[in-house]
Amino acid sequence: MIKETVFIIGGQRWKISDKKFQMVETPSSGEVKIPVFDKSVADKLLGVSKNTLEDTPSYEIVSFLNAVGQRWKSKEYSRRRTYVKDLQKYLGYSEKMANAEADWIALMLCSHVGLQDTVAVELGNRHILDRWIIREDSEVRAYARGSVLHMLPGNVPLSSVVSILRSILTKNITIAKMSGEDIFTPMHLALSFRDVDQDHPVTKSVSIVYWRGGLESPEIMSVVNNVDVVCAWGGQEAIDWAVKHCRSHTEIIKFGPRRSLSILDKGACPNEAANAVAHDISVYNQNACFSTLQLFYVGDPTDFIEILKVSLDLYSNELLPPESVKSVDTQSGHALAVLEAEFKGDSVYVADDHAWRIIVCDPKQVGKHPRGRTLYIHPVTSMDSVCEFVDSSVQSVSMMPLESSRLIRDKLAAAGVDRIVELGVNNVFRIGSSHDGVYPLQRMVRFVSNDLPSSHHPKGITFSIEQTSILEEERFLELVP
Amino acid sequence: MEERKDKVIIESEEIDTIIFSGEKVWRHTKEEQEAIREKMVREAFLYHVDSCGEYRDYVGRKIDNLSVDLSSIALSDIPLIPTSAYKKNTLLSVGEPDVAKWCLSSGTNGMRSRVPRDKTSLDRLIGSLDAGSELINHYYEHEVEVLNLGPDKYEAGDIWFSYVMSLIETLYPTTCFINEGTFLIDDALAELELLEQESSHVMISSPPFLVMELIKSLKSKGRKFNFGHRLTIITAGGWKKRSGEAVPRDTLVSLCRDYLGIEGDDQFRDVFNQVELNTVIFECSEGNKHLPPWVAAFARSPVDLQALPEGEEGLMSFLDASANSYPCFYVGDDLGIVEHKDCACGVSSKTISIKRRVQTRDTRGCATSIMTEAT
Amino acid sequence: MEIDLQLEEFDVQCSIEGCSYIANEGQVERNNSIPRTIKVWKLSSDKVLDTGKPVVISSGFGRSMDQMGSLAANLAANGVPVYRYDSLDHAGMSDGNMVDFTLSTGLASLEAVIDWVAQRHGGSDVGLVSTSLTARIAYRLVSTSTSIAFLVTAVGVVHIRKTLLSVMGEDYSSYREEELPATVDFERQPIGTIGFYTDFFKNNWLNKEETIEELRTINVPISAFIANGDEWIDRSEIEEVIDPSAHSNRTVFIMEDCEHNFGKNLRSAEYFLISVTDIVCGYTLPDRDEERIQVGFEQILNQSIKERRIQRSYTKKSRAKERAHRNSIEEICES
Ligand SMILES: [Zn+2]
Repeated sequence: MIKETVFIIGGQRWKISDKKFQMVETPSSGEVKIPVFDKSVADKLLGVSKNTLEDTPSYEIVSFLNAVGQRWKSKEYSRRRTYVKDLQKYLGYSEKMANAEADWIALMLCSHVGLQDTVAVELGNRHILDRWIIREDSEVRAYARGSVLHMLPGNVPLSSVVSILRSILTKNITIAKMSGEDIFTPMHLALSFRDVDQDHPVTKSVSIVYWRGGLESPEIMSVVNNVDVVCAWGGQEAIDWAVKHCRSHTEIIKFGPRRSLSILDKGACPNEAANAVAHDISVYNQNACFSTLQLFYVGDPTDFIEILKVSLDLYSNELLPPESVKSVDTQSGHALAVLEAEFKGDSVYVADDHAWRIIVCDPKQVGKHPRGRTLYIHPVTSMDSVCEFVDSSVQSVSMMPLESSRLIRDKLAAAGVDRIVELGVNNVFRIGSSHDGVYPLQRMVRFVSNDLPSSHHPKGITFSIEQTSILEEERFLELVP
Repeated sequence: MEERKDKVIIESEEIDTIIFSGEKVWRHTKEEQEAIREKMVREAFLYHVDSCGEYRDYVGRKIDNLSVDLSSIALSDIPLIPTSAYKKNTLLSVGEPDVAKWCLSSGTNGMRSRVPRDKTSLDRLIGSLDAGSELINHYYEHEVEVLNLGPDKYEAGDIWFSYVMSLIETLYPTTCFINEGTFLIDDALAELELLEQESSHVMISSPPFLVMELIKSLKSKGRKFNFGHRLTIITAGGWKKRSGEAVPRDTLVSLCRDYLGIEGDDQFRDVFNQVELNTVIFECSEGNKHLPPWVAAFARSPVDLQALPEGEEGLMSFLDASANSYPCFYVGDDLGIVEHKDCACGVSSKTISIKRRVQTRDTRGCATSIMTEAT
Repeated sequence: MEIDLQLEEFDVQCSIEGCSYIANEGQVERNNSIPRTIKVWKLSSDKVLDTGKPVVISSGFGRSMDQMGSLAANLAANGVPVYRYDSLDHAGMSDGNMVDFTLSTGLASLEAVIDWVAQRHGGSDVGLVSTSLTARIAYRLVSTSTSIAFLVTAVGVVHIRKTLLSVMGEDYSSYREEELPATVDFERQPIGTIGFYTDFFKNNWLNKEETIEELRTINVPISAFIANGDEWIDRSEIEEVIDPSAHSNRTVFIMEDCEHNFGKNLRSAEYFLISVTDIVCGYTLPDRDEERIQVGFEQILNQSIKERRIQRSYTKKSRAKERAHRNSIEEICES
């Protein structure tokens, strides 16, 4: 039997009705039925009040998320178990990788301090969504823009969670359009809200839907034309779609195609470095934007490669095994990449079970990257030569030893890199870390200011700014410091 | 002048005798086909190892420094070239002045393949068109009117697929309906109006999306033609950039029944070619793509590219003995099946069926390709 | 290397009886009674000198003059002015329809063109390249004409009766006139029989012996190309008729693995092209010391498409005329 899933609209389940459904082909070649995005769905979505979270204090939101996270923390939580199974069955995840994903969801939801700190870092004060905060000569409060449409990615489940949490934290209502490659994470997240409290404002603020990317039906347009913020994740086409169809005053936050790379400078401990590299290319099977695709190695990598092979085996056999069934497309990409390298005469190392592959070549000669634990190693004589191969398409540069980053980070930043991180932790975004060069929460709120009265002397001015008398007495120049 | 002779013999190369034998191409027995394939492909392999330095170096790396007797390796073990290698313009088995045409792939993403063809290779390609078209029917020039919905030779420039399709003008009376990149749809309809009244056989040669455009236009005008058996639609090149609008073949055929009045499915034929391949592969009346005996094809395991048994789906690889100016032994990114068929059309041969293109590119999530190669 | 080729079109007038002709280069003054128009193409390049000796190429039965485009282009590129024409009552752009074709019309057309070309080029010394059935016509003309300097034939018919039997599967020459069908099909095109076979007997085109006889009187050099797999012509008969061992200026070229339609094997066609170019240049440009120029694949293709388009626009026009004619008849009938 083909699995049927649901939409969530304003916190309520929306099932397949009248036998009308969409068939979604999942990455591991399975099929899932999901409701059709028709006019009744669109109308119901548009009926969810944009003020649903208006009166819910931030601490209450964070506490609710924490309660949900506590459930996810338990391996016995039935929803978590279903989720892990779905990732294995339909996304092809290994059990360990699926459990790691559930662990991360738990961590994300439970870190109430972290969430509050994120608000503090990005918006300036953790209370700013609840009350007026004095900032120099103004009282400022952040208001939700209204509704946020998330066009979610499919390559990294956790990104969907991060994206949705951002709109909840900023008290916007959430409309999440799932990717066909992951129609499970957002749905199970929203359902776990219901598990805790069906009537909680957070639960009711969240809607999860799906339509095939690129469609332009009137129902879809009616929703797109009503949202206030769009969080567009994905390839260039998805970004272009959002830009083309949104109203001009809709805030579009673009998380477009990015790539990441690593630098291994002299002085790093080879064993530590090998484990770190192995981790960074194993997480999400190298499909994330922060996944390392290339390693620039200062010096001769021959000995290091021998150590790296052991670490890669450790990760693929024990710590983060890859998907048990690789798609034909993924396999073909790997085989063709190896053949291309062999044709060019590059050194090629392939795991016995084809779980990973290393290709040593000139950085000028990397074409299509097949991902899925494929590492291109480029021997270089110095870190500086890396800059030539860096541009604004690079998101993260992970490095070891991290001290070396101080020598080169200005150059990398100038070349367009948005993030520098230690090798081995590329997937951990620390509090204060920017996302593709921005603090996204800032883009989801309006900062409303209530300026101090004229009687209150502006900073550095010794008299009140009563403008009629200033004009009468021609004292304006006295305002000029 | 040289010394006079009574008689001068002008010899023909064996492969040319086979390629240019028209419908006889399809009359060899299974054993004969295999013998031809073995001989022609192997000879071509040895010739290219000899003539193309880059291929020779590669073969040397792949087959233990040529210590093995190359004339005895199985065809399925002939080292394959990845299609990306054709982007560097260095795979040449003849002198550069002998290249009559650098043929460009039509892709828009990244760099394009540029395949050098000399006169011999191009002649043989036309030979494959001639032999392949016998699978459609044997027509004399005066019996056929071709409507080429794609560009003519001059508009096609170096873009391979359009170029190949435009060569039909050298075989049959042809009218083209692309002018400066614009599809002259009304002119095409007007021509069909005229031809509907005539008696000649009409062939529409077109990429599938232009057939669809034609039908859309007929739909909007509320016009239907009734060509009956007098029309054959030959599509080539797939949907490419228009893959978002792709219509399944069955749907397209039934639309052609409705709007052009064709009577049988055999009046809709697809042909297969790609810029790296020097042979155009045609469909017979049963919808099978018959492989001529000078081409070997293997579906390969996506894991290690080993040749799969007949009938199993894998990455398609081709070894085409008709290419003279470049080694045509490659694996591309199409998934398909190779199998022998004793076909109801009367031809018994290996056939290929192409299923789809694999997505090896970074099309997912927040991914991007690394960078284009330095040009 | 791209060679600058120029194609010019001429109308040559020919009246069948007595084969008189009126050469006409500019405006055509049309005598609607007897003379009929033959379309002639001249292909030349800047290599062609005013004094260059010309060559006429006549295409095979049922083929229009664009057929031998690549040979024409190669000869022109090497400095030979090349003339091609469509016979009267034949495929192509000249007057008449194929259904009325006779060998004598073919002969008259060829003779008119040869004489016209000879006159343009100051007398004799016209080379002739002739294919298939027209080769038979050429043998007859060469045996009487004083304008022809040498002859090249390709898959030239020497024994028409036998060839027609192979082609048609039936020897219609053995039929009585009243038994003949009105038309027979050649490559699914209708050919009128009565006129054809009447001419056949009356003008003695029938037998091999007549060909041998004509060949006996020919003194100019002959190069005969034979396809060894020719399904329509017996190779030994050609060799017998040409008899190269007895004539020091005759050579037979045997194209291996070729059928009658030898152009189908593009590689053999290429060797044919090279050989004929060398032969023709040897006769017409004996002092030439340059290497043979070979026109590239792309240019040949472009030239060929250009010529086909000229032919095609002519066909389209005459078809439109026919249609208009048909419609007007229908209108008259309706009213
Ligand atoms: Zn068949």
